Parts: sequence; structure tokens; C-alpha cells
Amino acid sequence: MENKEKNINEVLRNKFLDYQVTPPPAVWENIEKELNTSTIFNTRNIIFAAIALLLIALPITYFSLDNSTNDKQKKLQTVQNSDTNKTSDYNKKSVEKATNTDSTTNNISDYEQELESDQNNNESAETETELIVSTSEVKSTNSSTNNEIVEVRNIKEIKQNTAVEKEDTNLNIITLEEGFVVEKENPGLINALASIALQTEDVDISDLPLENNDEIVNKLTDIQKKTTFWEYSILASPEFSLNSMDSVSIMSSYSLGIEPMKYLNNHWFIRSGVNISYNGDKGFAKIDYMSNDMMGTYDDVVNVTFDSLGGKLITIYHTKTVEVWDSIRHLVVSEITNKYLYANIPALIGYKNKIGKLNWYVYAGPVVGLQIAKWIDKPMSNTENISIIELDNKLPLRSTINYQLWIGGGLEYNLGKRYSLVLEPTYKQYFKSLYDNADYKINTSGFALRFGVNIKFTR
Amino acid sequence: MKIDKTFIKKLQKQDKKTQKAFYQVVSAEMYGVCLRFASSNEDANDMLQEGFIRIFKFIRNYRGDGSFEGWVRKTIVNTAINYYNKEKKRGFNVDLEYVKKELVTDESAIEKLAFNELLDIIRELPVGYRKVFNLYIIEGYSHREIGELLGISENTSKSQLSRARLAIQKRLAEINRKENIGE
Repeated sequence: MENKEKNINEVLRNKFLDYQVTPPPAVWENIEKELNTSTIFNTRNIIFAAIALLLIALPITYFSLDNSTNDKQKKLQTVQNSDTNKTSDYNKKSVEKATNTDSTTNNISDYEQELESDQNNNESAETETELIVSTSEVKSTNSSTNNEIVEVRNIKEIKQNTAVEKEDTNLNIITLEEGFVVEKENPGLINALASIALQTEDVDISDLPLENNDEIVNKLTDIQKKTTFWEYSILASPEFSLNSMDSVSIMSSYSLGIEPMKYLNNHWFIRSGVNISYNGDKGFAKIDYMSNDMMGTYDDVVNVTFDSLGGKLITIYHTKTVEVWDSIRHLVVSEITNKYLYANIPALIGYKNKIGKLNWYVYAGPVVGLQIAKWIDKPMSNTENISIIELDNKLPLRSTINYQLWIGGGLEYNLGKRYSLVLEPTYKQYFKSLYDNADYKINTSGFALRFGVNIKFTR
Repeated sequence: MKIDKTFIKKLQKQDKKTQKAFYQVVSAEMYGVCLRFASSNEDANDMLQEGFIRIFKFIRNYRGDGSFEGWVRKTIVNTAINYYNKEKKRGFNVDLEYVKKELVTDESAIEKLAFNELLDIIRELPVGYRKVFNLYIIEGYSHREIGELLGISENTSKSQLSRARLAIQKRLAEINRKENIGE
């Protein structure tokens, strides 16, 4: 009776113990809802928010400070094709006026009148002035008869404290006093100066030939030609995926690249190159396998002999150790990682604005990613003597090509004539799913923080 | 089922994807457990949901001393047991005399039944009987452990198991009789 009961228990246990039923999907959905309630403010989200805030706040702060300085130092240069009676005192005065002009006096006509009035009064001004000549934008107006006013914005320092004094009685003169005052009706010169100023190259005015206007123009044009037209950006970046997927973790990727940049004009540039990107995915595999495992050992009696000791009979058991092996079925969940190397080739167009040592720029464009290598994890590959019954790999393989759109901005800090440091937060949107597997078709996006150096080359 | 240590660490860090993966791997087995303890599929769903939330919530308390698989199963079983605590005192009458006369059950009668049929029989048991039956017969708990778990004495556990077994045998006998009449 007791045996029968045991047998029934055994049958019931076997019937129920390993029975598996897939639960309805709603159960997981409810679990997920419960779990998600307190995870909005996790560490990763906070770090992302902090970086984003910092990247927004820094340029805003910088530019607002810079604007206030610019307002005070608004430069207006009067380029006058005046008669020979105009003296350097007048030039000094005009420069002083320009230097002291408030930002609200941008009205050029008003300023001109004020200047004329000063001229009529023959006032002399001996105040020492500092003029910084530069421009990213030259606005030439009022070229009526003899007067031309050039407003210079976005100050780029060309030369300070150039202690060259020169007075010329020619119609077209260049006067350098504690700075650089252009007095010349020559668009070629203005343009040359403007272009040079835009090229981040410091021009030593003392090198300029000051005797002849044509020479100056030629010299400046020559300098302009030698200034930067190509830049090579060497950038590295970590990239964080902004998407999540069921059972697949897209790992942070790292890239290193070189991107030559060609200026189309003073602001616009195109940029291409190649970025080698190291990517990875983490997932899991379910492995059902049999292995021949040692269950233990026992001592097997192989012989029994008898002996006598002190008149007593002693039994001697001769044993050998026997190992017990059995085929055991295992169900293992194992984490696996696939790694890939992609060559990303961008075709970007951008706009750069230069302000002193710090420049900012934005860019956007399509990018094609080509897979050049992959390392696919094989679950249980390091386990010997196993027989895999079923392997359910839940980690999909990435496709060999992907298409992206990059939208980014950058801050560039000039270290000198040739080198500058750059920091580029970039948003990346993938147009094609990263994976070929139909179950994992989602459009992913990422955020990259690219940093590196720009190396400028003259042609 | 064997879970890697790295996997457990990720679960302890509340990694969402790992949680999902873990659920996908073990939920079918755990749902089987819940179905045995529950009176209906809806109750089983609730038990499973509650059980997994407990697992994810308290996994940081798992020190790695014992088997993780055992800890998971134990958590689900405990959740299932507590689910019906409010219905603890609900009665169930079994005509024991009748059952004793009909002790014709053998292993083959059980083996003939499909899992769902057997599950229906188990589900017909009163909650208390079902708990003891599941814990003792399927999960392999001793009467002492069951007593501690359910807050009853060992003897009560034994008697409830006996009654559960008799009730099952009675139902099996009925099924057997109907089949014979049908033939």
C-alpha cells in the first residue's frame, strides 16, 4: 500500500514538475508597468540630462558675455578718400569715435554725420586708441563721392600695438597708429583683409609693404592664398544609443576618424572622411545540452582476503575507486556579446562662425556605415564534450550596411595658427534597422560626443 | 535551468533587458507552478505577476548562498501560497468513507490523463488541501516545512495531504467509471 502511494506520488510529481505553460503576454506587460514606475530618474538619464544642459549652457553663456563685450568695442572704420589735408589727427579722431561708439549707434548715417560735424569743428583728439581690425562680414555703404564706411563685426584680432606711424599725403592712404586704420577706396583691399581675418591666421601688419597700395593688395592677396582652406579633423567619440530593445542591449560604441573639411567660402564648408566605429550588442542565448558529468565516486570491493593477527581472524577488503558518470541534461541561459567594426563615411555640409579664439559651427548630412569586421559570440564554445540539443540565440546579427543622418554642432578653440580643439555633440538617426532579423526592425538613434583636434593646412 | 552569475548581477542592478530575458526563460516553468496552486487561470496570472515583481524587487537580497533557481521557485511558491491566505478557512467536504471504498486508483489511471485534466482535478481541491498537495507531492517539502510555511501543525499537514489524495483518487475513480460505462 505504501509502495503504491509512493508510486502514485512519483507519477504525479513527474507529470507536474517540469510542465511548462507559456503565460499570456499581458502578465509581462503588467510586470513591466509596475517596474517602470520608479525608473525615470535613473543614473544614466541624469548623466545625459546633465551633459545636454552643460552643452547648451556653455555656448549661451559664452556668447552672451562676448556680445556684451562686442557692444562696447563696436568698431567702425571710416574709409575716406579725402583730400590731402586730412591728417592723421583726424584719423585718430575717427578711430576714437569708432571705438567709443555704443552698440546702439549702429546707424551708419547718424554716425557719419557726427563724424562730419567733428571734422568741421577741426577738433583734434589725442586719445590713444586701440583698433582691432578684422571682419567676418564687411558691410560697405555710402560710397557716395568720397566717403566709404566699413562696419567691422565679429572682431578678429590681426595685430595690436603695431607701433607704426605713417602719414601719407596720397589720396589712398593707410595709417597705422596703435593699430590699423584702413583708409582706402579699394574693395580689393577690404576684401583681402576680410578674408584674411576669416582664416584664423594672424597677420603681422608690420610685414606689410606700406609704400604702395598695389603692393599691399598683392601682399594681402598672397597672404590670403596661403591661409587655410583645408582642415583635417581627427575625432574620437563615445556614442550612446538612445533606444532600448527587448532582450538586446546596444552597447556604447567608440569611434576614431579623420574628416577633411573644405571651405566653400568664409562660412560654409563640406566635410567627409572615414570614421572607424567599434560597436557591440549584448543579449542572451538559451542552451539545452547534454553533458557527461561525474556524479561522484565509490569504493568497489574487488577482493576479500583473510589474515590472522595475534590469533584473531582479520578480514581484508581490497577496493578500487569507481567514478560514476552520467549524462545530465542542462538548460543554461548564457549572456553573449557580438562585436562589430564599421566604417562610417559621412557627407556633411556645415556653417562655421568665428569669434575670436572660439568658433562655433553646425553641420548635418547623410552617412553610410559599412561593416568591415565582426566577432560573433558562440555560446558554450569553451565547454568540451557536450551535446547541444537546442540552441536558441536571442541576439540578432547586425546588417552589413546602415544609413544614418548626422546632425551636430561644434565648438572649436584655436590653439594657434594650425591647431584647434573641437567638441562636437552629434545626434545620429539610423534610417535602416541595425538588424536584418525581422523581429528586431526598429529605427535606432544615438548621441555621440565627438572630440578631437583640427589641423589646418595651407594650400 | 541554470542562470549565469553575471546574469544574476544584472538582475540585481535592475537591468530591464535582463529582467525581460529572465522572464522569457523561466516564466513558462513558473506559470506551471502557479497553475497548480491557483483555482483559475486568472488567479495564476496574478500569482505569476506578483511573484516576478517580488523576485525583481528582492533579488538584491539574494546573497548567492544557495541555488538561485531554487530561490526563484521558492519565491513563486511562497507568493502562490500567500495569495489565498484570506480564503484559508474555506471548507471542503469529502466523503472519505466513499473514497476509501473506491481506492482503485493506480499509476496507469494518472498517466492516462492529460495534464489539463489532472490540473482540473487538482484545482477542484480546496485551497488548503491543494497547497499541501503541491508542496508535498510536487515541490518535495516535508510536513515539518509545510507546517512552518503554512502555520499549521505537522499532523494537520499530513491529514490535509491524506484528504487531498483521497479527493483526487475519488475524482480519478469517477473518471475511470465513466470511461468503463462509455466502453
